[in-house]
Amino acid sequence: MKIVAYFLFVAILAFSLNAQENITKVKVAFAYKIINFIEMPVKQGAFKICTVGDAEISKQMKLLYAEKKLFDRSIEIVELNKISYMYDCDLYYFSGDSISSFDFQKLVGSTAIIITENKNALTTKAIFYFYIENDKIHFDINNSLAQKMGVKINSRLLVLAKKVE
Amino acid sequence: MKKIRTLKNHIQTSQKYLILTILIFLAFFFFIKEIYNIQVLFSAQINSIASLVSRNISASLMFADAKESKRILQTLKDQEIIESAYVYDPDGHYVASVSKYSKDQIIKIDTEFLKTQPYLLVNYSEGLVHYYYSIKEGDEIVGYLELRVSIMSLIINLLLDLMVLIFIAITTFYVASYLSKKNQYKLSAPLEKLAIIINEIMGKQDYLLRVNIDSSNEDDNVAEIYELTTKFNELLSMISEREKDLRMINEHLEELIIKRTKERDIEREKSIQASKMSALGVMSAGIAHEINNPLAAIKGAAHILQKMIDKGVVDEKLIGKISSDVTRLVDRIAKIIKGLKNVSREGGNDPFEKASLFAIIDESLSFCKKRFEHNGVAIRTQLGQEDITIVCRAVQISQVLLNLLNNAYDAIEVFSERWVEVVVIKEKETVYIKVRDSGHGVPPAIQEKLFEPFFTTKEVGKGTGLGLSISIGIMNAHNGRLFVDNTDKNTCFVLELPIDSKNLAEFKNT
Repeated sequence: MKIVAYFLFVAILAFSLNAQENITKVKVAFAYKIINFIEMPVKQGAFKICTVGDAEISKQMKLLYAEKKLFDRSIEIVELNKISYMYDCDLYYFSGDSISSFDFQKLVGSTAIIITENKNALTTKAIFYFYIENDKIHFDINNSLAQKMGVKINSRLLVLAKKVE
Repeated sequence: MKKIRTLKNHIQTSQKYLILTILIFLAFFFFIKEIYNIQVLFSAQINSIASLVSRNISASLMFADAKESKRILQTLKDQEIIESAYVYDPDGHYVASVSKYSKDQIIKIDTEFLKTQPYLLVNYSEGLVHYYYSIKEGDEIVGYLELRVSIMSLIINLLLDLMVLIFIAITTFYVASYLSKKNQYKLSAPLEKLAIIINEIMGKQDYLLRVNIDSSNEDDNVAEIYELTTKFNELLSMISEREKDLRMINEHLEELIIKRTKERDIEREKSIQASKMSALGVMSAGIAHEINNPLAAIKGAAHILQKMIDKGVVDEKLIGKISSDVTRLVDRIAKIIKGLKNVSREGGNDPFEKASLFAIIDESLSFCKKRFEHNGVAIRTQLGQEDITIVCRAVQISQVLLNLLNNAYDAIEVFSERWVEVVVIKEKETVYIKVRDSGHGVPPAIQEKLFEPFFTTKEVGKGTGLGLSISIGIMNAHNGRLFVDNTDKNTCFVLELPIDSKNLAEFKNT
């Protein structure tokens, strides 16, 4: 946890030096923290995170999540080029506009956290939407979709975000 | 003078001390307990607030949401005890704060000491208590919370508690004092009643008085008091019985004393008489000689007269001389007999009268002169030129002198040089009659007992042991003294008599 804090601190610090890289790091750190406020059905095996779009995301995740665990499970990072090949991930991170080609219907019935950077996708395809405002990262939550996806979000997290139905 | 305190005072004071001690102890105990309670309650309250805030604010700290952190801190404004609250990130950097009064912002705090003591650290400064808490999410410290609480609220709470304690203590003290006063009255009232009765008994000397015990009176029904008054009444009964007995014994004793006094007086008179007779017995040879000599002379004169009758010669001149001599001799015998009568008489009831001291001495010496001379004891006198008139019972003074002369005679019997001397010395209004002899004084051990009745140094049957004790009694009756003059190299007894005894005579005769 201390390392996360350290990474968070590094991400904020790096923001001034390399805004893009730092933003990516903060997004990665936020994604990790968000999972701490989420309850999901117990699964076996590694916690699988699938990234689509910006390769920098998966790169930073591999760096930041190394030796970390989620729900007592080791973390496996998978960078997808085509979403159609993988539908058994625990978390999907769609950077940029990559979610537009994603067929949400194929995930119906499974449990997964979906993060997007596309505001329009939040209402139909994603649970979390990461955006930048005043040089800070914020996030919105689609709680009704989260419930449909079998993801229970902690109320303290809900307090911090704009909620979209 | 030391003030004597009443039992009531003692009871009241001791009860007050007891109550005060208990109250001080209780007040101290409860005050300490209250301080502890307040501290515990206060800490518990602060801890619960901190715990709640920490729980709510952890997420906003994790996502570096200062706005949300501030919003959560705003909820503390309703908490009266919180003066201000601050949150810091894990590195101690300021994130957000709310404050009722001060607007200061701390940029960074030192988190090192918070890491070693992660939950609570109290820091006193500027009258505020600073509580520091680490905010955790799981095992991870996501920030720190600082709550500032005015120390005044603690002090005010304590003062309020103290005032309540003091009020309760004072009220309790007065209530307890009132109750103890009421209670001690039950004890002191019957005792006061008892004291009044004792005073009355002492004043009137009436042991028939009793303390009334009223069984219907609650005050008298204290067991110890009831017993005390009952026993006191019993004691009074015993005293009155004893007093009655004593009165009877006294009356009997008085009778006995009068009887014994009479018997003693008779015995004393008998003793005095015996003493006198003893002295006369001793002097009888001399007296007989004194009477025999004139009788022989009278007989001689009668013989001459008879011869003249036988011869028928009447020598008128010789008859006249013989007649004159016989008259003188008869007078002399009469004088001796009168003296004997005087001495043998008790004399204690004689009036005090003026008398010639020389005549008293001469008469006394006349009884023993012949005996002294016959046994080789010289009699010397130094009476002075002028006779001295004293007021006395002459018979008694003569008796004292005779006694001293006889003692002197007996005392010097063993010495080769034997003389007795009577010396009269007049000093202003006092006359000293010294009876000295050729002895060598009276040993001190004997002097102590000399004037005690029945003490004698003479051989058995020779002295009664009453002479000097009777003599000293006579001298006391004359306001005089009888003593041994230890300054004299020989044995010397001194009679001291006042000369101006006019008042004495009047007094004694009345």
